Amino acid sequence: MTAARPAEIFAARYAALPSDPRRARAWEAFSARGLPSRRHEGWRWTDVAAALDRQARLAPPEAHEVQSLADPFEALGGGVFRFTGDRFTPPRSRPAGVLWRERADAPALNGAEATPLAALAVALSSGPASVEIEVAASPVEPLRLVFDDQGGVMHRHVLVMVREGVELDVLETHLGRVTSNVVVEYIVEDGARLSRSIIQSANDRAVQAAHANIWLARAAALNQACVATGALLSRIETRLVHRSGGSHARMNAVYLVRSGRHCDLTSHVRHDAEGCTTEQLVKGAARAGGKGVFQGKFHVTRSAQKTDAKMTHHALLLDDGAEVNAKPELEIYADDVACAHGNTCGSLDPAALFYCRQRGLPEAVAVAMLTDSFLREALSGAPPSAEPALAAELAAWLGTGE
Amino acid sequence: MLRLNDLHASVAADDAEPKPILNGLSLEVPTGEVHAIMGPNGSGKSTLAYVLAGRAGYSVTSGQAEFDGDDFLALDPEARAAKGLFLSFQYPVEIPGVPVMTFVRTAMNAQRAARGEPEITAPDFLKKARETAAVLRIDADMLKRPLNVGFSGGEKKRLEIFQMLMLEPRLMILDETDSGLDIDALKVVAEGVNTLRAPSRAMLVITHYQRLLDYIRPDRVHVLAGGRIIASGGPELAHRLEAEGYDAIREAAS
Repeated sequence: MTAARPAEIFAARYAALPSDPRRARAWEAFSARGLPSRRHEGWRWTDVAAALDRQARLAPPEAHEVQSLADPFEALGGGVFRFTGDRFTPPRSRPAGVLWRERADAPALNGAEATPLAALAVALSSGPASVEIEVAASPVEPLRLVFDDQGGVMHRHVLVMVREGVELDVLETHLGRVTSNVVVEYIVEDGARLSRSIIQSANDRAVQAAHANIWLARAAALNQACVATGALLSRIETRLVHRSGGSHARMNAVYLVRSGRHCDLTSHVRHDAEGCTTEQLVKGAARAGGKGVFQGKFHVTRSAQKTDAKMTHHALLLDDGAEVNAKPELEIYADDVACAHGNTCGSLDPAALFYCRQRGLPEAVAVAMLTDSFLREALSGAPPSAEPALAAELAAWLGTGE
Repeated sequence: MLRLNDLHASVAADDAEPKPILNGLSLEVPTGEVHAIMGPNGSGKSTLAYVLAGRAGYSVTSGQAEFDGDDFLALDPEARAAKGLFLSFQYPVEIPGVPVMTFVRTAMNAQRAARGEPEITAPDFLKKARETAAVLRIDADMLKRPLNVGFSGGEKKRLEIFQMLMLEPRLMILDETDSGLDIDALKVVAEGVNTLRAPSRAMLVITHYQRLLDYIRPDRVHVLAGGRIIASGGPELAHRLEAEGYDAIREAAS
């Protein structure tokens, strides 16, 4: 007997869910093109269809494989919203200023046609179809969103509304054991400040997608930091819109891929209003057999004069046989803007490596130290609550952790 | 302590044939002595330093090299360092994000681990660092900054000697330590270097100019040209070079 194709499994799941016009619309948006593969624009280096096929051919996971992931933000406490494939568990006690609502019907997804995996998540999310979190006053502790497929298949949609003037610190954990596909949407109102810290952690068989849509209103701010170590395939996508004037975004990330790992960081930033800034710094390191992908696009519309946007991506290839693909894009229709991008891909400086070894550092220690030195800049502005955990992820990958 | 016999070495440039730089270099530095190597640009001074320290791409094609009676050319750079070889770089590298103190402590403990010695304790390390910084008149704040990042040429050289004093190597190679130093800094650095002169140690001082040798008095001076030692003598040879130039020595040697 041959295993059912992933696309067929998704279709069967969709058929089993209660009908709902918005769910149907999301499903149509997804099925118009099917699972993203290398033939699709924006997915050339991230072939989800092929990865799911490969995953389906693997032997079932051992129990220890399923259990071996832990939430790096666990020690920080805070109000925890926990999501699995079939369950949603809200915080035990309600953080002041925070309300949530479980929705049985699917939400409308903006731009669903352009984001097929996000459309799939909305089409298949159930129990509940969506969770809406409203933050009306700045919480004392961070809110944590923990996504864990628990060895199954997870599709999730969460909407977070950050009301006017609120300061919100969100820690997102994406644990990939088999298949997880998550959409988180943030509506950040006037003068509100969102810190969004993301850790993506998975085992070798996981196929994992974390998609975010973020809207920044007047004078709103986003500080996003991410550490991702990839999976059989992982895609972390952020689509940000500056929709009123004077908003600021910082979007930094570090990706780390070893053999057998794929990690894709894709972002799309739309400047729709005057005087907004975006500052993006993504750094990555790849070992032999690892594959990193960076796709960044700044789209500056005609009405977005005085935009100040800078996109930087630097990757380090630590071994022969490491692979990094990068596609930085600027599309600018306003004439009074400062937009820049920088993109490099190279190996460690042999002079620096020799210098460290001359002082007695074994080669592996020297490589780890220089790699850390290279990557750390991308974590320097991270939200203070998350910085230690983000740095610990980096240290664990480099083998320099405690 | 260091014995080089008929050493030939090549440097591999990108996509090019390896270029022979050392052409039969013989040299002996006995334990307890300080030897100077002087030579014009392109004579092979830095290549000699890199070959001894084990830099990738600098390969010995023939000849022998012994450190403490052992052939060390097959050793990795870190193994040579743990054996007690230190190279003070002509162009020290910058390492963003790694404070000087962290770097030096990591290096010290790596060398100790390689020799099977226990790690230095934090209080002992701090005490030693403070004393060493005082000798070299290094500001304590500098030791908290990322290694060499934003340092002036002179500060970088001072930091090289700081590391040398902290690591207490037995065979020291100083590659143009005087470049980038003004006369006051030169004196301070030389004083620091001189504290490591000992019957159990040896030093190879590579320099263009005689000036440094007024402060670090060598036992022997060798002239390197065309990848070979073409003349050797006492400290007076350095003065002769300064007065007559390399060409005169080269002619006399041929």
